[in-house]
Amino acid sequence: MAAAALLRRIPAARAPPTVFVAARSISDSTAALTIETSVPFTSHLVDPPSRDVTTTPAELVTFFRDMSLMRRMEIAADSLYKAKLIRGFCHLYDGQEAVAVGMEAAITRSDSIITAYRDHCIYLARGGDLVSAFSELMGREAGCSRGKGGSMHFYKKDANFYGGHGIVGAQVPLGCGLAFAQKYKKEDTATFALYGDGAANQGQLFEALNISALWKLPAILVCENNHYGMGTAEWRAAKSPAYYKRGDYVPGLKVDGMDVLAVKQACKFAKDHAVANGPIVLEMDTYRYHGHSMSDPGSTYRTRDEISGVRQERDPIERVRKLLLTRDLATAAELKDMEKEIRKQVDDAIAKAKESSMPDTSELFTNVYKKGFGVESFGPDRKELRASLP
Amino acid sequence: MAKAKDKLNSCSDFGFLFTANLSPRGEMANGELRGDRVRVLVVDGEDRTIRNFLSTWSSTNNQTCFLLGAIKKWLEACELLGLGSSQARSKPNSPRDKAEPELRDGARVSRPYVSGTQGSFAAEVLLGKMANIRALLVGLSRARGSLAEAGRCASTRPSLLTSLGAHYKIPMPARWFSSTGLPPHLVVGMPALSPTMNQGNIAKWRKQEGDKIEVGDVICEIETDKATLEFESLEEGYLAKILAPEGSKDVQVGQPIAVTVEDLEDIKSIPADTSFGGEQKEEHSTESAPQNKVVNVSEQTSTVSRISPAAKLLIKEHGLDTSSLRASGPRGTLLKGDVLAALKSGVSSSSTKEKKAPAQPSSQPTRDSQAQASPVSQKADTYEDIPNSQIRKVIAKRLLESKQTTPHLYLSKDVVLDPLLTFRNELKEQHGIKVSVNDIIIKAVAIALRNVPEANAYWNNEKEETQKCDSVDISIAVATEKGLMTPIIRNADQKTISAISSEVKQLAEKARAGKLAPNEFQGGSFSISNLGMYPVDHFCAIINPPQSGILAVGRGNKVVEPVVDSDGTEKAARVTKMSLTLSADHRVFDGQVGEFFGGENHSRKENI
Repeated sequence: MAAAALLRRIPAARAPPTVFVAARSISDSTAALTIETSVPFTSHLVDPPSRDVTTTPAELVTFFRDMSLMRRMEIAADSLYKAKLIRGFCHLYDGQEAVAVGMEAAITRSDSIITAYRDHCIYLARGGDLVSAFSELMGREAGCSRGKGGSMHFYKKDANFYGGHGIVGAQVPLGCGLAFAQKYKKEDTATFALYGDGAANQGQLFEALNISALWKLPAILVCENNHYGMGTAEWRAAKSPAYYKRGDYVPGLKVDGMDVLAVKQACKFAKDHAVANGPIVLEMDTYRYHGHSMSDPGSTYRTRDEISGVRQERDPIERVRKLLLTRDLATAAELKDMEKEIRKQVDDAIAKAKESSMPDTSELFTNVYKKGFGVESFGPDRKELRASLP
Repeated sequence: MAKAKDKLNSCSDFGFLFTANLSPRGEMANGELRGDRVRVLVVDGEDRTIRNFLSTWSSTNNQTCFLLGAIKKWLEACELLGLGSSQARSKPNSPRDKAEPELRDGARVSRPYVSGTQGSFAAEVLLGKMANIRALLVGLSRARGSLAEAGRCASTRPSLLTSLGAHYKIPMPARWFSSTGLPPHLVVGMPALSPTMNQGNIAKWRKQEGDKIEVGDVICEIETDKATLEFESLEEGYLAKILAPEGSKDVQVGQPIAVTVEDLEDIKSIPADTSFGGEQKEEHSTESAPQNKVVNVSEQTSTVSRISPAAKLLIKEHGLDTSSLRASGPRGTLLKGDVLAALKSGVSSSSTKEKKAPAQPSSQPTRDSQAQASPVSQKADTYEDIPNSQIRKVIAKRLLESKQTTPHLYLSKDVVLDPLLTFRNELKEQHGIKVSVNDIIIKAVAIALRNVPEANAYWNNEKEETQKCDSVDISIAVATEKGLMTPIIRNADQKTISAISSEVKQLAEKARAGKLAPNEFQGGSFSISNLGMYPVDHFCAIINPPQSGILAVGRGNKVVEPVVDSDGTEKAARVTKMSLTLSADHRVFDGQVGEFFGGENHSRKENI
């Protein structure tokens, strides 16, 4: 804002400029810090990694920032949906941010991630920007999939994020295929195929796991267990809710998905394991505050007390906030300011995304076939489109 | 500087108020700009909402306020002071310390907020002169003498406000200032809780004004076209204001329904009459209508220079004190609208409003009052729309459908009720069973229906023939506050009267509480509607589709009739007669009706 800038400049002219508040006491040191995870890891057929996670204050601050950004984005998406700016499906990830952020912290952009339709935050974690995310949600041209994908089809190929899939469990065999490509190309990278507890009972997962184990592909199957498959509780859906053991002959690890450091540790461990020994199954014990999608209020199959209980006890952002505050890496006011700034960022991004236009009608025919078929438009309004198919 | 001072001094009728908006984070306030804690708010002094807000704000924050009216003149003064471009960053003429004692306000900057006014001033022009503003203030305070003390809004605002000079408006960038100078707040609009929702009703507010809202808390229940859903809040804060109260119907998606703020104390800063758009349009327009009219007015005074004839009449009627009224017409004319507004706001009783309504057509002296009269007259007419509950709507629809599509046939008979009454008394005294006349009638009708099975039928529209019902299920009409409900007594012919009686009581209770199960009121082959407890002698009821008949029972009246006595002679005797009217579906009943009806009376006597 011009006026604020002016105000800030004016005293600076008179008095020696004081250090800017935002960066001053929020720690950006890279001194190593060892923090214990909330619960120890439970493992299957493998030795679990240590509970002590090394991190740095700067990293914790980025965790906080990234998770708050994701949280804010999801809440904003909720409001946009309720304002009918986002139509169709909208599956929100708030509550599960630690999985996205922790995973990203443990891997590089050359590792691939593929997930189901609860993908907004993974897109952000993989380097997606807010404007393209919101534009895609609202179906505008500036979106990451040119507005043609919507909530369920976010992609970012250059960051090795392969989406965004609507069919339940379909992404896991694809993920194993990506792992195959990585092994074939001898890249020493791994693929993380995320799926939910509802998809964990799908047959193709086991088929893909079988072949990955035989060929020792660097595939990491991550079950984001938020305990409800749409509206069905996990104990009603699966005879064996220990999803990390479902691999049978494939080792598995159960992680507290609300603790970003635990997720980071587990993903690092998993990547090292997968590149060396083949597939591994991770189970992230996490929770979603919203319903399955925007048409689900989320309170018919679970009580509000349960939701607020998890919010109070296990919220990932609060955990990091507590860590930062108790270790004196930031003050409460600074964190609050960060949140306000993030909020503003999100609002600005939404405003910018709203300016973008809807895709042109000719886009109906692009990206359908590898070779374009030269769509031409006719008619006085140029609304009649003609394409020549072979 | 001296020239400027003279210029400013010559503006005899202005105070000035401006609040510099400090940065949104507040750290500026706490750190660097310590000395600039004076709130500098550029307002349109005419805007009443701003003034109201300022009065509360200044008293709560104990800030120095100066009200700026003569912006144009001030601008000229600024020019002279060398506050040229918005980029000017020259040092103030007087050091900070000197400024402070004059303008000491003492209060902490509690929190920064965006303030401003709609279309009043160019933000950056003003704020760019922040450093120089202090100089200006100093100069002005010196010029004015005790301006600092005069500037304590709380005490002396009225006089300052009344002395506002000419000003002119410059369109202002909206993003920096909020339009009405309120603390940072969030206007919550009606959400689309389902993709097909376009409007909804507010069923219930779970949170009240002033309550804390946590993330995930339900703030209200919204009735959509499909169901009543709970609206969860995703922000935390405090509910400052409810714009759409409980029971608001047909609130469009997006329309503001509430305002939340982040801090509890901000709630007080929101004056009661602020409109957040949409909801309070009518009130706002009537309040601002007199205000808008004054836009072109150079001066606004509380003194009345002349009174319009219509206003005079009203004043005489109600014996008001002219000096207490505010004139809003041109050149200080007291308009009828002003009098009406004054009356409404404190003094009048509702009965006088009706008197005003007929007084409306009287001629209006100025064109302004025309616009004011219409919104005011709406307030003067007293009528009340009672919205129809869902049940009533359905009842209405079905009644119309029944009346229009079913050929009603009416048969009435006056029945001698005495035997029935004696029977009833007998039951009460000898057997201790309390039954009502209605219960006995139900039993009698049930027996009659069993005896005339063709009567216990309904018209099947698709097959175009009557279809007999197996069981005799009688619906009794129960009046509840929600509407008319008809719980069913199944197999009434097989139940005893006392069983029927207790069941009727139970069902009526449930109906009134609204707890009838669907199978308890859907179905039935015949209905009985008893208005005997009301002073209704005779009435014709409307058949409940798809049934084929309804018996309307009137009141028992004592009449004198010739009665054949036991020894064969006719004598005048007092009997209680009750009127029964059977409305039948003529497609189902024809000749049988008589049979049925007769049978019914017979069974009444037989029963006993």
